[in-house]
Amino acid sequence: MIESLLSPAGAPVSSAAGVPAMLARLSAAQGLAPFAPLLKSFVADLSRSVLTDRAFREHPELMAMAHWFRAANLPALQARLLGAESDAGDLFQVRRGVVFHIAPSNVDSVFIYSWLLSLLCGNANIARVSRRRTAQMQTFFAQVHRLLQREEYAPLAESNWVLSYDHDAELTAQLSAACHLRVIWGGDATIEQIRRAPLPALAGELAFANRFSMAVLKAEAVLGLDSAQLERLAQGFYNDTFWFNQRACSSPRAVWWVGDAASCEAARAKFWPALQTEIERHQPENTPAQVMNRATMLYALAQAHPGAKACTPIGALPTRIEVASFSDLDRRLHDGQGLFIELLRPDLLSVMSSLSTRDQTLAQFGFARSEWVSALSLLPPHAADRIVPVGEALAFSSVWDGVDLLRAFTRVVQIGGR
Amino acid sequence: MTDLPALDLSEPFSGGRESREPRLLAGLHALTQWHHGHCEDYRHMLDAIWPDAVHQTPASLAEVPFLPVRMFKQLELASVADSAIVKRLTSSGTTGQQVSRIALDAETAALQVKALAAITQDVVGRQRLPMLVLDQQEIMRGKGALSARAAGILGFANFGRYHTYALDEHMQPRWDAIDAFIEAHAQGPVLLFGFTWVVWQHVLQQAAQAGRRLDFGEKSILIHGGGWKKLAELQIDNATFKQRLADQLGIRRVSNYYGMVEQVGSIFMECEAGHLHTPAFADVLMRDLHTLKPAQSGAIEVFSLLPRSYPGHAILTEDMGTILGCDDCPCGRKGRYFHVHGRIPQAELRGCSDVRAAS
Repeated sequence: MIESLLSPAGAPVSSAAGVPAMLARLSAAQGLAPFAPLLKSFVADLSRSVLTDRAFREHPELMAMAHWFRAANLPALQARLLGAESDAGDLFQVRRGVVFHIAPSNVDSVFIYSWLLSLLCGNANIARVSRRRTAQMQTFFAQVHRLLQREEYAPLAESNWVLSYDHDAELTAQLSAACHLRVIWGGDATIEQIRRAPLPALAGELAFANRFSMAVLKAEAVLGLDSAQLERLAQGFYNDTFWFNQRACSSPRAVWWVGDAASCEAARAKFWPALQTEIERHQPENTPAQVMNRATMLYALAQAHPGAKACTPIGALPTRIEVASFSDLDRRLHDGQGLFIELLRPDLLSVMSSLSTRDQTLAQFGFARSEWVSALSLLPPHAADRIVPVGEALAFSSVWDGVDLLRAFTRVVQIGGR
Repeated sequence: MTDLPALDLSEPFSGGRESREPRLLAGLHALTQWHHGHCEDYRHMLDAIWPDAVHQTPASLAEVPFLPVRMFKQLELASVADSAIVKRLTSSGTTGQQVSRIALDAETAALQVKALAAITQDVVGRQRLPMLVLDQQEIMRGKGALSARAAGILGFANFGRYHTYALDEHMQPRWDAIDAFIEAHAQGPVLLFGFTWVVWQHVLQQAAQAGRRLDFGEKSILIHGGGWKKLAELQIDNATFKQRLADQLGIRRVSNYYGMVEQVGSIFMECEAGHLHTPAFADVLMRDLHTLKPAQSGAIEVFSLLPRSYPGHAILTEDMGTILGCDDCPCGRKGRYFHVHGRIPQAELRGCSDVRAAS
């Protein structure tokens, strides 16, 4: 069964029979130039309506998304893509055509970034979203739907199809065959599944695999914080880790403490109670199933690390375990939900050498920018795409996992001769 | 053979709390030490999470180190040499789910048989009764590891004779065989055994559809187990189930049991008053669903003195239950008695980004 959340007027597709006509309609939809005024005004309107709707107040991740797409930020995005373009040059960015987005179910707002950036680039979009989407996503789509009813946005209503369906390889193949770019936000297993559906020879693909993220905290710097600063650090850390139940790929799951043994010990004793205060203040969801998962994960990590030390009671939120070394097994075993693997290191260099291909975001505190720049050459291949201050781990950027999305959502046409 | 002391499994429901608890705690502690000494994975987990447990005799059940039940799915844990393992049990997970793998040596397998006998004979008596297995014979013929269903049938088959299987290879009732069994035996005591869901789906429902009313006689007793998950989805509770069994099949006494492949043998059998009972060599503890601290109701932790070849003497399950009392059940049995509410909702959240079945 197909459930259409957004579709061109008068054409809600509910079964496979309607799919070819819908795809034909999307392919025929009139395209627009990247950052055409209509596109910008739609995104700005949508941003405003989310920011002013009380229904989203409880959902900071959607507020952050709307803030990111606010009218004032759009010129900077536009400049990022089109800044170097001029009539005198010979290279021009144009839309790709039809972009097929496959959204993850755990971090649904990531998909909105992907979809809106593609829309801003002038593309027609097919977006598959999870059946198990959250209530706030439902509200969000209702909001988008209302906006698309407006006469002026008819061209956009005509070129965007957001749908939901259960496992259906045939439908995935049909949608894939109609796109010029496929974007998979689902993780390794989803990528493997989706890739069984072939793409047209000229279509491209962006695949965002499972990634792992960590925090790197300088012990001395934490020790130097006064209580207000400590609270800010704990707040930032809380947002990074608990907004998506620690299941966003950029949420830190391991924490590296950098410093001598005594300061690491003291910094931990100072930091974790401050985080506990944040947890008590915000009361994040903590179901019995999550308690069980944390308990099981703790044992699995203890089994994998002879000499490990549990630092909290079984099932506690957060659960912490101190280990001596870090491996890909840890990256696989860790399933979010409020568990931190702690490691102690004397310096930044020994952290860098423990990173791997899977690692995406380093949320750091206390280090100077120059310390990171000078350590870059020590990074293993593809390790660490982002090094950001604690509190900004989930902040979206149009460059994601090392991919410049605005460029990926467009193509370059060369005009020669003059 | 382990060098653990012999285990007295007789009279599982006679001793009260004062006599059984010290023995239970000492026995569990000896098992903790044994497994710590002989199972490397267990040692690593204990040293990290329960660093003092191996040195200190627990003062209460809550101090006995436990393993979360899913560890038996993630690891094959054994405290005896590979060559000593005589049987491997697996849980009956559906396709794609990870299953538990339990390694048994001759000693633990023998203890399981004896323990099950002590518990079951308390219900059905010492005599072997004519037995109707509400399942297919084909399930016993699988190769390799024994499934939980097959292991259960094999275990209970010891208490019967003239075994008859009620279902054919397509899980359809063999009405002729069932009628012949009733004809031959139902004037005396008969034992029926099956898995809760199979009894419901393949016997009760089929009988109702075929419009067949059976009568297994005044002295018929059905023992069933395996969990209520599917029946709970249909909103069928124990009372309804019993009523339907009485109406449709004429089964007079029905006894549910709570048990799991991770602790075969030490099952918790339902008494005449409808309570699940702990035998002297096993026990249960409820842990609060949020703090995991001991509580009246919560996640069920199960204890058993039987597991010697694998570290399964204290397991935190993902089921929920309530302690109803101790030593004072109207049925007269001593020991703790309790109720099982069912599974913790969606206890197995799936992995990171791949939450959704793709494509």
